[in-house]
Amino acid sequence: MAKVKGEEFLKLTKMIANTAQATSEFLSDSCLVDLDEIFGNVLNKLNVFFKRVEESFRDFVIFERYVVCAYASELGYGLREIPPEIRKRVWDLRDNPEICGFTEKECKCKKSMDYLKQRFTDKVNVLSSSGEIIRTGSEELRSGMKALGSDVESLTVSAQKIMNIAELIEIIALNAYIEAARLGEQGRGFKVIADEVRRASMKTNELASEIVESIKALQTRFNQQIDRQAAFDRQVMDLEREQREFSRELNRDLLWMAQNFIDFLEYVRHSVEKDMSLLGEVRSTILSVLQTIDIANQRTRNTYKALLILARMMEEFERVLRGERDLEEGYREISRLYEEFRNIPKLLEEREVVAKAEGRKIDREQDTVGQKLEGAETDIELF
Amino acid sequence: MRRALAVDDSATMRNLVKIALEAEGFTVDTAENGQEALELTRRNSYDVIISDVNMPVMDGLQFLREFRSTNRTTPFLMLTTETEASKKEIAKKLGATGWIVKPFKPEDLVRVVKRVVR
Repeated sequence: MAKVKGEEFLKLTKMIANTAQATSEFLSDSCLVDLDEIFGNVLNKLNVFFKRVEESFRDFVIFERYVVCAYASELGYGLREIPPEIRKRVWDLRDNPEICGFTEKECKCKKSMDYLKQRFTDKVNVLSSSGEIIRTGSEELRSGMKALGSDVESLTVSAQKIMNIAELIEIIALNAYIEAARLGEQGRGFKVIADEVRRASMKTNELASEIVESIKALQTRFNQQIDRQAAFDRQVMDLEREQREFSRELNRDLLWMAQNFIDFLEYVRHSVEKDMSLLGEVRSTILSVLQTIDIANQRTRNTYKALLILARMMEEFERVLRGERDLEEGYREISRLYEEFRNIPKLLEEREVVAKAEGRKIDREQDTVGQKLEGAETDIELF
Repeated sequence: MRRALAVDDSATMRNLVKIALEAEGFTVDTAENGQEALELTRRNSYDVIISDVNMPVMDGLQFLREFRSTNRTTPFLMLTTETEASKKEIAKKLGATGWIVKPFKPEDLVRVVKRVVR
């Protein structure tokens, strides 16, 4: 009976050893993930992709700074209308020699934009001065016409005086005619002369009246012309004012457009920054997953080694049971194999499993040799 | 440009270190074991070396020993799953600069590399 039990026990021992051996071979043949084969190319491509995205982002940032620099140069005077915090940022960027690789004095953006600004200002000035010339000419013409008007007025006065003199002469002639008639035959010749003088005087009076009428008509036309000239002056002044307003509005619109464009660029940059941050997280996750798989592979390899050792231990145990191996010799071999098993684990968790099996605990404090790096999630010691 | 050497028998780990450091502007060479790495250090100069411990042909501690016989200044970081104090003690005596346990966070690796590289 005892012999049968011993045989059965040997069979069981053999079965356990076979199971351990076969399990280790399963692990060896099929369970290990060939990370390099699976992820090697993907990882390299991913790395290239990340580099390109980062380069593009850097290019975009440089482009944005160029634009902001140009904006600051072109519309610098208009910055008074921009909120202070934006103005400060723009000036800070402008003053930063790293923005476009030039210092403020050498900045090509500034030079080209200053040139455009100067050209624009010159054109507005030319337009304004044209209006000024027209207005000045018009004023001179108006004052000339006014002076002419006063000359005409003085002519009217002179004509009036002539008319008065003519009337006086006519009265004198009439009196002379009456006196000549009283003298009779003696005054006959004088009477003829007085009559002629009176007619001449009447004619003079008529002519003077015609002159006065003509001057009055001329004066009316002059006044009308002066009124038209004044209206024209007002139109020129209105035009000048509109020009100035247009210039101001144009400047404001340019500022508004530039500001919107910069805001848009900033919005895009923030979006890209967010995407970059997301891509960074994706990369970090992928790296973390790959490490986890790599470490899982190592654990599988360790399990495979442990099972192989276990199988060899069982084989040794079987030999002892069969009496093919001396008990002391068997004990030594199994102890050696156990030492080999204890040397397998590298990971802290594996070492803790072995320690637990042996009824002891690992003191993590004693594992620390150097100075732990504070704030790191990774276990890092500096010596 | 700063130059680093990543030594690991796992190509995945070598690539992970390469990606993490290249993102920070490093040029990274790689080697599969200590022997290969030692030959690279004879031809090139590095600002930092990051090496695994358990590798075939020549392990990380042997590589450290031989490297330190000619170079005492280049920072040398061990990057391994090993956690035993005895191995760390050996590395420290041989002149290792630090010990990083896998798995590592890329930003932590970058942080410690920047700290040891002058």
